[in-house]
Amino acid sequence: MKGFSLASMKSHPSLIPLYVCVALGCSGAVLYTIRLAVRSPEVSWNKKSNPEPWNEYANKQHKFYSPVRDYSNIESPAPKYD
Amino acid sequence: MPSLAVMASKKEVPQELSTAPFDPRFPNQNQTRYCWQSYVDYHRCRKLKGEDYAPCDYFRKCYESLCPFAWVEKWDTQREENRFPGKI
Repeated sequence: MKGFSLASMKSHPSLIPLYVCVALGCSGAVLYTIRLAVRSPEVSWNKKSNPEPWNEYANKQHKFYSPVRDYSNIESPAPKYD
Repeated sequence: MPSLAVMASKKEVPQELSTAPFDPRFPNQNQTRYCWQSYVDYHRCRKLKGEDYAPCDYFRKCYESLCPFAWVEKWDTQREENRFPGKI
């Protein structure tokens, strides 16, 4: 079909916004899945060396948008016993 | 039938209500990890520091607020029978 290859797009330029939106959507989905895999507080790739991955977030923000509290000086309230 | 205002004034409101504080390690709606971690931390703290170490009580108050009673009973039974799945 015309409009699917780079050359024939010139004859169907109205398809370009479609390609842009699909590309944005797909890359957003892939990038967010990667973020979940490497940045999520509950994902551990090596259970022997990282058994409790949430401890990394004891003093930093995980959410993109969290206006409820000031994260610049935040600390986990749990006492350290070891 | 007494009015609602009268009924409300007869109820005593207990002071000093509190619950587990916000922990940035568990920022999302699903707080089951917070419950589990508090339970495990309490027993690890008691094992390391002895039964009278006061700071361990922070963890006990957290898991008592957060965890369903059924889970706490199940884990207590598992600990007594030495088949608790976490490292204590």
